[in-house]
Amino acid sequence: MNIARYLARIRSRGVSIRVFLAALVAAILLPTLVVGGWLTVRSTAPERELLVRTSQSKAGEVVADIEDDIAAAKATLTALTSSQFLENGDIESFHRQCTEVAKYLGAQLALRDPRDGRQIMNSAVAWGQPMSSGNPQQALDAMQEAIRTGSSTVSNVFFSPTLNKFVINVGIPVMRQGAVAYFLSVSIPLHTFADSLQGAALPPNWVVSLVDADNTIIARSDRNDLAGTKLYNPEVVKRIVEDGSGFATSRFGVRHRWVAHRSPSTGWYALVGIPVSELDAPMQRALIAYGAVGGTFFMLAMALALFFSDRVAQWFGEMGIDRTPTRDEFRTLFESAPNGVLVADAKGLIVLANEKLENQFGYPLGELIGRPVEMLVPERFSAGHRSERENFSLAPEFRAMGAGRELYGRRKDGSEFRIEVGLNPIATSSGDFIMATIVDITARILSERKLKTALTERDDLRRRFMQAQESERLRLAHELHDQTGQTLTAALLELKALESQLTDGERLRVRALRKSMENMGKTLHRVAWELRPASIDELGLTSALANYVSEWGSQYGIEADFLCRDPRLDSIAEEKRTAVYRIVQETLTNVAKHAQSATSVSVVIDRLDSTLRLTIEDNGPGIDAEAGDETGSKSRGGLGLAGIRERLTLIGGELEIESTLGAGTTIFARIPLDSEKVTA
Amino acid sequence: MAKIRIALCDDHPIVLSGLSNLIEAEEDFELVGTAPDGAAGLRLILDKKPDIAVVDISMPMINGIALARRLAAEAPTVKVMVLTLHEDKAFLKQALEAGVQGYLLKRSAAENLIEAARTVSSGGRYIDPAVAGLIADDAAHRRRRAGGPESTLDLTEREADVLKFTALGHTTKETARRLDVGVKSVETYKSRAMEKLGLKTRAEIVRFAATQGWLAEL
Repeated sequence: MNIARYLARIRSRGVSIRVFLAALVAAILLPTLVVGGWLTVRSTAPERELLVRTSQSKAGEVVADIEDDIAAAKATLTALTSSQFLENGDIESFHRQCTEVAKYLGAQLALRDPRDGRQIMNSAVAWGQPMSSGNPQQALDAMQEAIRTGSSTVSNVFFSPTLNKFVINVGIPVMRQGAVAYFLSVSIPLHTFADSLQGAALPPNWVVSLVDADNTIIARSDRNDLAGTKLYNPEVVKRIVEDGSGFATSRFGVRHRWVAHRSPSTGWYALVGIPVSELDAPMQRALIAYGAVGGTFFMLAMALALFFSDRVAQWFGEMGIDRTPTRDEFRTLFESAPNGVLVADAKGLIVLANEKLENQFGYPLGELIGRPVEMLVPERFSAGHRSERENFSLAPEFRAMGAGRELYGRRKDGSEFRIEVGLNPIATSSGDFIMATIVDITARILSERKLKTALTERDDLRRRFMQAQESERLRLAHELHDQTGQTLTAALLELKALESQLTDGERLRVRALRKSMENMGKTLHRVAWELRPASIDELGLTSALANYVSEWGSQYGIEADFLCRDPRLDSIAEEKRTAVYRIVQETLTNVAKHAQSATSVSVVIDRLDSTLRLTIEDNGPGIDAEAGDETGSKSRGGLGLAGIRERLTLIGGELEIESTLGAGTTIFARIPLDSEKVTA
Repeated sequence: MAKIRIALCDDHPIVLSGLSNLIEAEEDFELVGTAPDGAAGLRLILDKKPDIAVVDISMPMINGIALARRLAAEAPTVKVMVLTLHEDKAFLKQALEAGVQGYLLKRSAAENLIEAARTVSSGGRYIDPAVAGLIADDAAHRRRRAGGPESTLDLTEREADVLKFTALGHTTKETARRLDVGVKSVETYKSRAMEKLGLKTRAEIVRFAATQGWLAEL
């Protein structure tokens, strides 16, 4: 499936997790149910076997009954053959005797001439009355066989005109002087057998059928009227007889499973049929019950799956089990992303865009799908964007788009706004896609601009403040030193000139006055020097610093060493020159204030490439550089260092402090001289 | 006896007149002229060739020290004495390097100008007592430094490395990273090396490094 359509469908339709969970439950349950069904069917097999075995034993019983009946008939015939009337040839008496036996038996006895089968006597015909001359073929066949074998035989079914019934004959040859003299037979009506079939006590709907070797039905338990008729489908029955069992559909359309059992003395077959419907009934009942239970169970499981599907996902989330988001969740995430998100295919066509993005760019819902992403880019950039997009496709990576450049988005109405784009390649089996996250940074740009302006203004103010302070100091120093100093000098010279005109006593007083005025000059100088030494401007920074360090050392009794290895130090910009001087001054002031135990201080200045490096080291008690650095506390490292840092920041410099407790402190100030215009 | 001929150079008119009065009050002094700025002073001095030129340092056009340098080259017979408000050793040093014979502070001019002029006139050098102490300190300092070590033979390789990186301006942290040792070790190596060489400060380390040619890259 095309992933584009897949992703689009997540949005357009939102296929529910329910379907997935239901399908899962079905996939688990269905095979289980099928196996269950199979087992159920299997479980009914013994019952079916029992039915089949029962039918077999019934067939056996029926055959045994028939055997008994035939054996009884044979026994009767055997007994009659030894009758003395027959021995004496007194046929009339024998007829009488036979008539009584036949009455008792409910059958017909006949005596035939074995040569032509002519009836000599018939119990059903009064003595002397004419007898039927027609001899049924079946009766004659049985007689011939009995004569040939010399033993009793059973005929197939035939219609007895005398009895006007279908009958079978059981006959026996009567031997006189080594030859067959008579053939004595008894005709048994078929209904006799029907009665014995009824006595087999078959279950209802079962059928037992008795068939002779000539495929004539002797009796059939359900249909007496079929006795004497030929089988409906003898071929099928023949196969069943050969196999011992088989299926056959009756002429009435009922299908049975038949079991055949042969009667050895008659050559007949007893066939017991169980209706297939009855045979399959246990299985069907079981299946119906199983189907009902299984179906109910399945429906219940599906209902539970559907009902709990949403909660299951939720519980998984609550339990902290890692899982991929459901489509609903994905869609919610996608739509509720704080930024615009779109997915484009390798050709740059938008396959998915969330509502946020559509709002950002002012497009109505769904209008962006299938359109090129370049429609979101200002026209002047779109060609460049296309080629860059193709480059990106060649080497996709997670990254921000257009690093270092200003990116613009184009709204539907053509207006532009500043954006930031994150690119995220997605490789799938159906192609490569790019997911882009688009952030409208207009507000951020504005506030950044404001902040930058504010910071610049603040730095400007500070710088101007320092410059103002510095120029004020310069002015004061100049006033004190030059103006006042000169005036004082002039006054001193005037007093000196005055002295020659004064008396000795007056001269002493003027001299004392001059002395105190000289001291005043000295103080003025000191104050002016501290404000801002004239030497910075008149002799250059190197001399001024060397002098300052030396003066400072004399004042505090600390050995102070100054070394400048940068011959161009005097030519750095005024602002930086002042800063360097003040940094040295403030650092040494700090040392004097807080590191009085120091016995030596050294100030080293050099230049590496375009960085002026100022290193000031003392061997004082040391500070906790980490703690004292920015805390602004009144301890060492507090105000002094903060001031130094501030000065450095304003000229783009950096400060690093290293200190070892008990061994001293070193301050490393680095001042860039990059954009410096050398002031000669 | 010939009078000592003096030229005055100061941009402050009242001071200039006061000085003039002071000189003219002396019998054996002759004021050959005054100038209100360096350029005029240079013309005057080159023209009159006085014995002594008393010049202010802070002057328009050409300052006193520059003037002294010009005179040393162009009129070597003129002895230059600076008269200044500056008590900085820096100025004194510069002035001496420019070849002046006298350095007098303005505030003691009324008292000492004549005496200083006489000293200079007779071939001596006059440094105002208020700043003379500074130069003495400095000289002592230089003498102390002159006795520095000359060889690194006593140092282990690590000690020499640490000293070198320190001289190159690296922080202890940077040095430790470059040598792949701990900060504490760097401190130990450094103090041991300094002790061996008798160096007391970072500045001395840098000076020593310079004599060893370690700082060629700077």
